[in-house]
Formats: sequence, structure tokens, C-alpha cells
Amino acid sequence: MARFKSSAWGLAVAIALVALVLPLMLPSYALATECLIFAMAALGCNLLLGRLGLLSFGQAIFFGAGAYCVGILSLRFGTGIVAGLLAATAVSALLAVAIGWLATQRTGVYLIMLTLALSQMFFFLCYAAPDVTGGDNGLMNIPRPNLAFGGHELLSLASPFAFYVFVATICTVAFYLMARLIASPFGATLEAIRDNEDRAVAIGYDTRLYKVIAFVAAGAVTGLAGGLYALALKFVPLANVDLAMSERIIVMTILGGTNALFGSMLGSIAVVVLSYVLSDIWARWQIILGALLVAVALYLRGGLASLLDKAVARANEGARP
Amino acid sequence: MSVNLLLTQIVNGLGIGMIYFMIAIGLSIIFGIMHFINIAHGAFYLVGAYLCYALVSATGNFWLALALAPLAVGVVAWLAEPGVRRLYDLPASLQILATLGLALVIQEAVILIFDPLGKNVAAPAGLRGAAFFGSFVYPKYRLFVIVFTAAVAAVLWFLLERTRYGAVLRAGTESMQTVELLGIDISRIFSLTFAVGAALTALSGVLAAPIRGVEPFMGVEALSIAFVIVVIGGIGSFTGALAGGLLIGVVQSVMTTFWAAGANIMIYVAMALIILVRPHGLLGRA
Amino acid sequence: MTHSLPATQGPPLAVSGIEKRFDGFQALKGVSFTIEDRGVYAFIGPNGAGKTTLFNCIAGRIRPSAGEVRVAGRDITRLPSHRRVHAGLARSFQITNLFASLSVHENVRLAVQAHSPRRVVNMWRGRDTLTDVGARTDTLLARLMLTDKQAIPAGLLSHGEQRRLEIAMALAGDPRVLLLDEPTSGMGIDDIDIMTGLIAEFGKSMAVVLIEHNVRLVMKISRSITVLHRGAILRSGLPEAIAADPQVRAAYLGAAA
Repeated sequence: MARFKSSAWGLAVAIALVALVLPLMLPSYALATECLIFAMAALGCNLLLGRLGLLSFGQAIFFGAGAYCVGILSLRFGTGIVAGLLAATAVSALLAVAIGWLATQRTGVYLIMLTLALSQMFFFLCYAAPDVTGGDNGLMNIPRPNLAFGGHELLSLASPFAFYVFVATICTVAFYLMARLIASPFGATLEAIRDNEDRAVAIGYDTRLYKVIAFVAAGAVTGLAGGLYALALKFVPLANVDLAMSERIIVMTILGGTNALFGSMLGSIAVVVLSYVLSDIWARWQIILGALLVAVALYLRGGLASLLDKAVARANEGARP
Repeated sequence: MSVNLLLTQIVNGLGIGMIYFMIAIGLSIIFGIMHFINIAHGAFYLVGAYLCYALVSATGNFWLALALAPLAVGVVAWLAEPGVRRLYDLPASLQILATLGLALVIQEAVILIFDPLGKNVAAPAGLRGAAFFGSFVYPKYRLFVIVFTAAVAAVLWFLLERTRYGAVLRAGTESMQTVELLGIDISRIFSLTFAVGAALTALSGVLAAPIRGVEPFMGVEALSIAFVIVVIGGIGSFTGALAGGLLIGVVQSVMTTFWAAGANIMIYVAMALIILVRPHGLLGRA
Repeated sequence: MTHSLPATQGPPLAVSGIEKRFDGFQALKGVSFTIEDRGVYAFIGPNGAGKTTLFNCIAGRIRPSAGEVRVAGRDITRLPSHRRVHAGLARSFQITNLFASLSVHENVRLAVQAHSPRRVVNMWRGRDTLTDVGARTDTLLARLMLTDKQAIPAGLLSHGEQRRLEIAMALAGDPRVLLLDEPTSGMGIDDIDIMTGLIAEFGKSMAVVLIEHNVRLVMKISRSITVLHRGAILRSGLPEAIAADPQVRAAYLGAAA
């Protein structure tokens, strides 16, 4: 019991430390904020891929839905920030019930293809509904409300620093909750399904229900990330729901590694920082990113997190005389 | 919509559909045989189209491009296949990661060599302008594409259904192990299949270039459509890919005149429905 | 810690009029029997008699064309596999089917957890903190003599040990009926003896339905033997009576000839 709690707390502490150090290493709070937001998006994908072995090309649905939800509520109805983000989480979770229920009708490549089809469908729906989503132009000039409770303003989120602290807090809590989830009996069952679904059914688990619930958890955290992204950019581009966004989230997840949740943080930082640094130096920087992805697939299957594991192991060995 | 306009859109759709078919059949066979999810498949199409642009700009001879570009891409794919083979045994997620990376490298290299802007490619001299059939007027080049791709499809059909190589491929889609037990050198089959799939896709890029021009992101778009067709037609199915390609081409072309986004929504709804109701595709083997 | 059986009426297992047709071939032609009490009930018969089809119809792997299966009075004929387990029907697989990469302990713990009423909703506690699940897991591991091996990945166990682990998992929910499909197939002599003893032991607390080729084992521990022949029940009775029955002999010899 103590160990289980400490592992979730340990992850929360690690995430908080990263959040503390990140702004010192990066040139702006905006960039650090983006790292944390995409870490949360990758966290959802990590749950599905790492715990269940399900690869979803539909993560942009949840990310985009969360962003549109906050954008529309904030722009049209002047909804507060907490209510807006809660709504984004809830809407994405509801969408995830539908997407998860449909996608888990099939397994393997057919599941991947289903998520791809649903994702493209959602993209063209958003594209075809400019009254709601702004279509190709997206939603512009989204106000970022201050943190308020019962009409009392608690904290202004206007400054990049204040907003970063707000995002860092949410991100830490999200990683903590996800760690609790995968360490729970529910998480154990997900691993059993990944290992041998047939057997999990035979000992009495309704495995599809578990998969759908995992989709809901993944959708919720990804939708929350999308909502925060809308507030960070003060803009919701159509690109939030396109296939490239799903691919970006998948790349961050696999690059970071799916054996540990912390990998999602590493994957997000790697992609966000790499694109920032390299795009300044060379417009065709994506050649380097592409080559890196090939190298990771071939030579570093556990992702960046496994590199960290090895480094820690070596340090421990070195410490011992 | 006038009858002539509708007819034009349908015939347009047939031409585009045949191009889609040639992209999808390569993807379908490669997936059926190697169980390899190749996100970089769209890059063959992209490279084929750009080779066409380069050769036509340099020599002014489209026919040279039509012959050389697929050959060049096929040879490169044949040489590269033993290297790509390392990916076949990886889990789907890592195959996707690696081929996504490859696709990115190729796309960016194309931008590096050319530039990010779209370019037009002129149709060959003899095929410029329109043909007249009474009141129905239609661009000659597009007619050529339909006739030419139909001929390619016929050759391909013969290759797949009437030759030993085709028989091996069909058996391999069921079970590669059986093929291996028959004492057939699988690695040669893999290389050849990969090369043929790549060359066909490059050929479709060459043919598409004078119709739609070339731009660096055309590969991604083609890939997405190719996946739809493979799913609708059934993995490894020749007739399925042909029917799927034509269906998508015509639906897209006709719908575009009223509601372009609606066409795309319909296509992906159809894809999802088919996976849910008939996972082996409309014409796939159950 | 008690694991009370679900409050039910009716015999542990009642099968009535089960028929199964495959593309014109009638594999089962109306099989009916009732198991009224605990004990080991063996089903034997020549190859092609329909034993495995009957087993699969009861276990839920295939749907019968006609007929009804009741466990403790409840009709489970159309119940999906995962809910049959909760109705009190457990099974082991003929081909070993385990969570190969998870530890032996975790295999059993997952099976026990499946019967914990808090299994889905529990997203907050640690997986090892359900003390009743832990205690039950330890009991089962001890009962199947796997305590020493509990930390090893299940895929690394010997064949005999894997079969025992299968049964430990099947027993997790304290079933009314335990279906065993050739539990000793592929086993060495020592393992067969251990398994025979265990099956006899299970028969004291539940109804065990056993499909088995090993006639000597069946004669030793069965309370009743049912002989299937060409998709129907030929004879059913005490082991000695079955052994002496001329029609049974004829069926086996006829099939062999």
C-alpha cells in the first residue's frame, strides 16, 4: 500500500520538479506551457497504447473537442475558466464513450483503421460547420478568463507566468490521478487484457467495458489538454482536429515511451523543444525529426523513458563501489 | 446540374478513381503479404509526381517521365526492401512511428530540393485540349489516363490472377508460412512485391501530375484515401481495390459540385461502417 | 473469510435437449442430463462422439442450435462468456491459456478480483490493497501447490504447473460447476497423479464435469460416467456398471474398427 501510494506521489513530485525546472531552461513561459499541455495529451494516448496496446488515431478528436468547447463557451457565453475546462473534459469524455464503443468493436489493424476513419469524419464535420467551429479560420480572439470562485476573482491568469503555474498545477494533478488509475485493480485488469484478452473474458471480465472506460479516461485528459491549449493560444485552429495532430500526439507518446507515464512528459518536451530550436536554425528541421523517429523505432523501442531508466541504473551501479 | 456536367463529373471520377486504385493496390498487397503498415506509401506517389515534374521541366518529354519515374522508384524500392524488412516484425505502433518518420524525411527532402509551392505540369503535346463527342466535350489527357490505367489494370490482373507469381501472392495473403513450406524464396517475393507496389504508386503520381499539379503534401492526402479504399475493397483484393477506387473517385467527383466537405464525411462514414459490418471489405475474402 | 455461493435454487447443472448442427452435420442430437449434487461426473466416448461440442455448448464458446443450459436453476444458454463465470460456471482450457507475461500470483489475483464486487469501479485503491482478494489468492495458490512459484511469470512454468494454475484461476469464484476439458492431456505420470488427487478433492465441494481420455483416471474418481456416442447419450451410470456394459464396449470397438 505504501509503495503504491509512493509511486503515484513519486510521479507527481517528478512532474512538479520538471514543471519547476522547465521555464529555467526554455526561453519563454509560453513554450514551457505548450510542453505541459502536450504531455497531458500524450498521457491519454499512453494509457491506451501502454496499458492496453490500443493505438488510436482519434486522439485529435478529444483534443480538438476540448479546445472548441472552451473556445465557444468563453467566446460566446463568457463562461468562467473552471466551468469551461470542466465542460471540455466532460464533452471529450462523452465523445470518448462513443468513439471507444465503436472502435472496440474491432481489434488490431481494424481498430486503428476505425479510429482513423472516425478522426477524419470529425475533421470534415468541423470543417463543414463554420458557424460552430469557425471552419478553416478557426475561432479567434478567445478571452482567457481569470480564475474566479463565486464571483470573487482569485487570480489573474493574464500573465504568461500565472497561466503557466495554473497549467503546471493541473498537469501535476492529471499525472497523479492517472498513476493512481493504472496502479488500481482497474489498471491491473487493463494489463491482463493486453496480455491475453481471451483469458480475461474467461475469468469473468467484460473486457470491452474496460476498454471503453480506458478510452473515456484518455479522452477526458486529452480534452482537458485541448481546452488549456485554446486558452494558451487564445485561438482554436482547425489544425487541432486534423490527422497531423493525432500523429503528433502518437509520436510524442511512442517517442517518450509507454512503459512509464513519465515517458509522455519526455516525449512532449522532446518534440516541442526540438521543433522550436531546430525550426529557428533550419526550415527543413523535420528531416531530423523524421530520422529520429526511425532511429527510435529501430534502436530505442522503450522510448526516451527507457534511456532515463538505463541512466539511473548506471548511476546506481557507479555509486556502488 | 445539367446532364453534361454530371457526365463530366462522373468521367472525371473514373479517371481519379483509377489513379486511387493504383495507389491502393500497392498498399493493399504490401499489407496483405508483409503485414506492414506503411505510412510512407504516399511518398511513392509524391516522388513519382515530382520526378514527372522534374523530367518534364528538363526535357519537355512527358513520355520519358511516364517510363522512367516508375522504373526509378521501383528499383529504389527493390534495393531498399531488405533494409525495410527490419520493420515487419515490429509491433504496429513502431511500424507507424518509423514509416511516419520516413514519410516526413521524404516530404521535407522534396521541399528542400524544390520548394514548398505547388507547380503545374503540362500535359504532353498530343494530349492537350479537348475531344468532342457531339455536345459532350472532354479533356484529351484525362481520357488518356482512363484508357492507360485500364490497360495497366488489365496487365496487373493478368499478373495477379494468371501467373505463378500471382498465385504465390494470393496464397501469401492467406498464410505466408504455407508459401514458405512450398519451398518458395519469400525474400524475393517480398522485394518484388514492394517494388511493384511502389512503381504502381509512382506511376499514379506521374499520371496525376498534369491533372492536379504537384505539391509537397499530396502524398499525405493520397495515403489517407488509399487506406479508405483498401478497407472498403478488402485487404489484398484486386477487384475490391478497383471497385473501391472507382466508387470513391466518382462519389468524390460528383459530390464536390454540391458539397465538398460532405463528400469526405460520407467517404469516412462508409469506411467506418464497412469495418463495423463487413470487416473483410465489400469484396474481400471472408 | 467466507465466499458464500450465490443464493439459488435448482441443481448445479441441468442440460436439456441440446442440439448442434454444423452445415448439415448433426454433432449433438438432443443431449439431456441433470447433475443434482457435488461429485465428479465424467463424459467419455469415442472420437467424434460430440464430447468437445457438448463441452463448448455448456461453456459458451459455441451456441447450441436448440436446447437449454441451466446453472443452479438459472438459464445461461444465451449468456456471454464473461457473465457465465459469475453465474457459477467455471472452466479450464484444453490448450493452456494464461497471462503469460504476468506473475503466477497476478494471474490468480486477477481471477479472484473478477469476482470482487468492486472490480470495475475501483480506480482509486492500490491493486494489492483489496485484502479479501489477497487472502483468497493465497488460499488458491496453496491449494494448487503453487505458492513457491507465485513470483515467476506464468509463461515460465512447467506444463503440469500451468495446468494447475489454469484450475486455480477457474476456482477463483467458488463455482458451483467446474468444467475440465482433458485436464491431464500431455502430462507426465507424476503430474497426472497430483491432478487426479486434486480433481477428486474438488468433487467434494462442487460439481466437476470432466471430459477425459484417460479411462483409468475416470474409473478411479468418478461418481458417475456418461458415455456419448454419435452425438447422443448411450449410457449413464456407476463406473463399474459402465465398464461391464456390452453396448458401451461395442461402441468403442465399433469406432475403433
